[in-house]
Amino acid sequence: MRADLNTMEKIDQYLQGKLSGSELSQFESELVSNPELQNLVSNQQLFIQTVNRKALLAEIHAVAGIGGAPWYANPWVAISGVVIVGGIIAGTIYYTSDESETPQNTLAITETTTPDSSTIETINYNEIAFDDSTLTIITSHSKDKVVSGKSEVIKTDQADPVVCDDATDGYSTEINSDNNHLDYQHKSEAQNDDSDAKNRNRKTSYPKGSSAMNDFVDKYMRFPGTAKEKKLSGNVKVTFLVTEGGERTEIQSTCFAMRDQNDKPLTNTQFVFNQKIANLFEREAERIVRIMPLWIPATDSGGNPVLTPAEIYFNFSLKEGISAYRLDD
Amino acid sequence: MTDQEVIAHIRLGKREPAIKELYKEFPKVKGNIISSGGDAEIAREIFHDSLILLIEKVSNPQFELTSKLSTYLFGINRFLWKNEARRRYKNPELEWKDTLILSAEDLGYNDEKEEKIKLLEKVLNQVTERCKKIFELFYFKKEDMNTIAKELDFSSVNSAKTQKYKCMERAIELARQLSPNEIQTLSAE
Repeated sequence: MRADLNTMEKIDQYLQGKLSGSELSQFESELVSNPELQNLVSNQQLFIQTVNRKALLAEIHAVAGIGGAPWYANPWVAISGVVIVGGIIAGTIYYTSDESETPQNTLAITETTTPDSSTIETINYNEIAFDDSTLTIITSHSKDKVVSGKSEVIKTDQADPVVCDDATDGYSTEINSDNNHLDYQHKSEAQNDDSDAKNRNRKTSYPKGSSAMNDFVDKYMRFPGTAKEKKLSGNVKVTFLVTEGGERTEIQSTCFAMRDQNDKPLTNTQFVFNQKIANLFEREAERIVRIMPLWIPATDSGGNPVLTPAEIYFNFSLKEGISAYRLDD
Repeated sequence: MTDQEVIAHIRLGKREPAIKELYKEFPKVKGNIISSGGDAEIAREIFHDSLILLIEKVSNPQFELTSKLSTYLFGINRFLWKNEARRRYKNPELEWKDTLILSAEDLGYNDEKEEKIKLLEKVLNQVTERCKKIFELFYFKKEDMNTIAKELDFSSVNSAKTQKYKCMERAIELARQLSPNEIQTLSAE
């Protein structure tokens, strides 16, 4: 038996408790004598349960993390290997791109001694192995970047700098040399009340804002070689969750549009034929989100970091290069 | 929020504050799971699954709480983690504090049913966005077909109903394709 529209509706009503009186007793007596109907009912019930669970999970994801422990109490911060550069140090980490004298591909930690704050600098190398030669810690004094208060430097959990994409794409070797950066990000925990107030109900963001994000994209993102050969541009939307610690998880992407060399959007059929290119755009976009430095987590009304969804749009343009933007900025 | 308030919120459909309150237990659960061989990722998945189970349980008006809600929630998490660990060929001794020891029967947890739901989840991921929307509005938000027809710009209630029926048919078809051995999954021929 195949359920027709009326039967399906009846079952819906029955399962939602909307049948009553003679309708209900009629349905129930039919149910007893008709195993096929029983089957239909139990399957439809299961289907409804699945729909509800899915919707419920979306609700849970939306509020996930709220009221959780502050990110600095996050176990992985405590558990993973911690190097304490104790004493009176406040640190700032930045990528060396803006310091021409420093060797390429190094991590620079500039320490600035602040006169009266007792601060701790923590470098959390976590468990990710990396080539020592690529890491240089430069201790120098920086005049422009002074941060007071307790500060921590954390290696992002997902940073996977040497992961390279499709070897056939022609840029994998190049990426190895350029990608030995380390995603360190400096976090300073504000201790006075003024900045506490600012830290409530904060939205999640890339550290130092979207122009810094575009600098990062400029530096580390590659235009997929095959796409270049085929002269295709593409737009990719990447969605992910930013955890209380600023890591990105559940990274997902869709390439929702592609354009040819004349900037003409591909038709559906052309798009399907070039699905592989779409996937290359997606993979590169996901990769870049994965290796970004720790984000600034969103906070709730109590100032506690919370898990939040975020999205970035990437525009891979043959003419203008790659740019990233966020609609919620 | 007291346990009773959490339960009342869930039953009234105001899940968000309830989930927020329940989420406060996550760090403990996560600690427990990590210390017995899990990782943060699986801890989050298990915890989210446990919230779903808890909300399903609590939504039933016949549900009666016999312990603290958090104790019950820990119990569900312990059960789910044990189940998952067994699937990974591990059988950790779980000495959790403030936990109920719950069995599959206590929870009404049925592996076969969970498998079917997993399959149906796949099916749901494959139907069109419009179908998803209809299902969600009708079954989860419990809106009537009149409202749905208006909300989704159907020309009439009847065309909305027909669309919903077609969506169901499509889902049945997909379920059949996904599980050739379980032709009875959604509908008996």
